[in-house]
Amino acid sequence: MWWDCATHWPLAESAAQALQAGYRDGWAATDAPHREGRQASLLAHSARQHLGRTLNCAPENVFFSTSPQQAICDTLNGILAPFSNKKCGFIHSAIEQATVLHYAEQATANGRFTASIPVSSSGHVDAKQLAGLLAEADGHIRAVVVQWVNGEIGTVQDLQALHAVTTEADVPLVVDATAGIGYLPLPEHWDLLWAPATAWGGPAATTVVLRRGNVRYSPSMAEQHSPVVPAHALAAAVSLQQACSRRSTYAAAARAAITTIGERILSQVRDVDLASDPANGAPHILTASFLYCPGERLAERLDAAGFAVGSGSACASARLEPSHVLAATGRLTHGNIRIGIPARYSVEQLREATDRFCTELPQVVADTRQSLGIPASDSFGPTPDSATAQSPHAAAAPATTSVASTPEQQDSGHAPQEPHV
Amino acid sequence: MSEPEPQCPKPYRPGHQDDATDTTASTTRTQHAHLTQPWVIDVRGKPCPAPVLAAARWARTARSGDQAMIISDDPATAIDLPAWARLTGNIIADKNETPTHTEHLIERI
Repeated sequence: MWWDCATHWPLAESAAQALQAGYRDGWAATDAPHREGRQASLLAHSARQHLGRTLNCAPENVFFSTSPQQAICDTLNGILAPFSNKKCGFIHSAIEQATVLHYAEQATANGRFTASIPVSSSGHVDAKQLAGLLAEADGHIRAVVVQWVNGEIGTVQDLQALHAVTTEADVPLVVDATAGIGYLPLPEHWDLLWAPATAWGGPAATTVVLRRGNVRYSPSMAEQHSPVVPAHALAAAVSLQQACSRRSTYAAAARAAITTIGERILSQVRDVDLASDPANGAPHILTASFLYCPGERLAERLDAAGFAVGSGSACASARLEPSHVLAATGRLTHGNIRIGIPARYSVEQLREATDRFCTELPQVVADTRQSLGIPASDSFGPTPDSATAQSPHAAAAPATTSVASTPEQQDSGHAPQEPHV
Repeated sequence: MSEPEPQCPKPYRPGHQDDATDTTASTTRTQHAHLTQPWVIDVRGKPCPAPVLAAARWARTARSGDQAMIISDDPATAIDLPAWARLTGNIIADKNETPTHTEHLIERI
């Protein structure tokens, strides 16, 4: 079972066919003054219209970029360029894609005003806090960048509330729709939005950018002179249409699976930090961290058992740094596994796989802990049935320098009843 | 392959060099009972989850109110030890960050 599909789907069959047809009929330069050129141009135009219709956006507001990273850089450059005040910058949430964070670092180094807005332990941006930051910035903020759905923990932002705030401040809301577009209906509350076609089974090297007509924007020379590859645009449009027509079915099946997995993890395994909210988050993403376990070892053991899952732990990353999303939400960073269920399995397949996964996982965790000298029978953590510390969203922001370790303790002023290691 | 065991925690008593280097020190409750200073567990050079494992091993034999100082240079420790405390009901009584490492004073409930 391939369960590492939060933001990147394999190429859909319809996209493969469209790519082939696109390369056959639309290989020429779209601005060439001959029949082949006009045919290529027509394909690109048709793809734009299809995408616009599927995403409920005017075709003239549909643009293409080669990669999400390029789209992020072009978008922010294009938003900031029209302003003569070179201190103008943007606000982003603390759990954005690494490219946004790197862009912000660079912009700050170049003298621009940027701010990272913290998120709650569930990963949500507080609209009131955002309004406060925008007011404090005194007109230096020209964009607010947020993910609609976080690809690691599945948090779904309340775009309506955030858009109301940014509209009031006359600042465009720039939305990364990568992790949600293949599973949830696209909301209307954004000013500029991007998503790579790989997020719904489309081709690589194609990122769709939607831009409302009222956004003050200055496209770079590269953007103006980089024509879309008609075959890629066509494949993106066809696969998106297919994904959208099936998403409610797949989303329901995936949500049933992650809900079951979440419940069974909490009831069968001790000392688990469940970072996702299966009921209210993305329907296909579940992230949990198992105390004392190296995430890489869990992922390897699960892979051997037939489940390909991701991990946000430092030991499983190329840079040996823990996931900034887990860190920003105060979640346990080691022992992390991330499940992203692709839109390719039937309800029956998922039910069978879920049962098998929930049988394998407790044993994998117990074996891993045992190998590290943590006995399964010892009084580590609350009992699995205890809802207090285990409940994914009962626990609020992490205790850092506080004397009491949890907000509940701070509020009540006394320690937990059941001491354990 | 099993993880290397963290160094056996030793009671931190300034000026008692012999005690501080005593490799026979163990973590029995009897020995913890007389302690007034926190134990020092130095896990510098060991990546996650070694700091949390060290805390758990210490806490298994510690008594209520005992404290231990975890010294670590792994950046994940600053996130994971508070999360460990939240999950297990123990306390982060104090925290100190230096350019090279972090020190967390944990307290057994």
